[in-house]
Amino acid sequence: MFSRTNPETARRLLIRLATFFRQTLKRHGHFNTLREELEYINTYLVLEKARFREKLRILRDIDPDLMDYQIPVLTMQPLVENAVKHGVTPKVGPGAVQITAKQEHGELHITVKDDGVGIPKERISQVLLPGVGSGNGVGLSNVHERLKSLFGEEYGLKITSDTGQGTTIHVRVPLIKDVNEDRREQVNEA
Amino acid sequence: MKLKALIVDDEYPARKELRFLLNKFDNIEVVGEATNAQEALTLIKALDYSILFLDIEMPGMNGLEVGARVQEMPNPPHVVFVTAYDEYAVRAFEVNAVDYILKPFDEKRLTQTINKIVKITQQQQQQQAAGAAAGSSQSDQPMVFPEGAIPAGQKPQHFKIDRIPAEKQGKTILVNESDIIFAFTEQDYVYIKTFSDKLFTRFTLKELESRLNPSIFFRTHRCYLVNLHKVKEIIPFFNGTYTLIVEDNEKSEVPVSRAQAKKLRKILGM
Repeated sequence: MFSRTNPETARRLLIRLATFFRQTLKRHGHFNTLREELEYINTYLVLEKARFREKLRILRDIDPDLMDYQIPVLTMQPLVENAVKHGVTPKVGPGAVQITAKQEHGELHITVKDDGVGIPKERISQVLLPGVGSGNGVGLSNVHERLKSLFGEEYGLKITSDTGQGTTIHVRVPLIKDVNEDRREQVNEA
Repeated sequence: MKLKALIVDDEYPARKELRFLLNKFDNIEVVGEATNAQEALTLIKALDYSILFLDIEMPGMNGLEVGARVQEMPNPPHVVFVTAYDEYAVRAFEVNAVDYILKPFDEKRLTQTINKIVKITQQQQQQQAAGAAAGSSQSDQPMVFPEGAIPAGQKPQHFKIDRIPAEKQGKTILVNESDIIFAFTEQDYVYIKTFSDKLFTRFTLKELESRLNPSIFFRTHRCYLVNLHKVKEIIPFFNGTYTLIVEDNEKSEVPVSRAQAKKLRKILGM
């Protein structure tokens, strides 16, 4: 879109898009560091900011000590994308997405919060079901199911929302520093 | 002929790109951008745009709803839907869209759109001239105010028609309200001034004032009634009076009396 009006911006964004695709393809295994996941999110957000400018505000509150901990791949990015696409974009006027990562009770707590249009209360229980939602119905249910199968039933997504109230999604992940160790354990168990 | 265009899109690069492409057309002038439906409707009510480039997926009210609202207005602009999705095409034409173009923009395709609109506009103007001379009315222009959409069987005096009979070379023609630039008295006769013609009418200025839309037509002077949408310039004159330059062919001057200047300032928020 900027190719003629601002070629330098177009070039910068195109490189970002290439990076985004590369980051998507590069993944192997089930885990990424929080740092990698945040870089991936950042690339995505640069592209969205180019489209919506000052309408979209991003706030980050990340504990830097957590950067090297492992989280399941594509845990946070779909939540951020949902916040932008289904929360802020449909809202008239500007909106903000806040990404928080903190350590609490020996676990990694991630929160993605937006002040967008929100989800009607009666629909919250449905959005975690596959095939339900404003999009293809994959994003949220996929993250939810993976978290549960990796760490146990109690680790699924926690959603708080209401119409016009914005949406907050909360994720809990056990603190994992080295995935290989974790894998070895799994192999031994098997 | 230069057509005024409004771009409505919630995405900054999309607006910029379309503005850039439209700059290449001598007959198009982009005179506004809006990022959502509310902004767009406010602008459309304030200015008589000829073309509306309308995105569909927008926050709040979507483009199709804006299109439907616009169609209810008197003299609606031509609506061109601009979207990244092709699935809305059928519904777009239900709200009378002139065209439907896909993003990213293709210059050739955009040229087609502009040519189409220019052609339609020219035809409308010709029809208006020819049709008016023959005393007939166009079918694609609303004859009746929206609130005057009358169920069959009601008495005809309930009709509120936004056309004014006037005389041109001995024939009676119906002049569209929006074509009236101003009306004035001259040696006891009342005339209606359109873009190129000065037409005699049997109405008094007072009668015209009561027949024409009071939110658009303003009595600037004992002898003048002016269409505020057609005012191009406001020039301060002596003793707090004004002279208005209007958008007819001759760029006529319309005086504003001192008493009415005060009201006019209030209306315009000056």
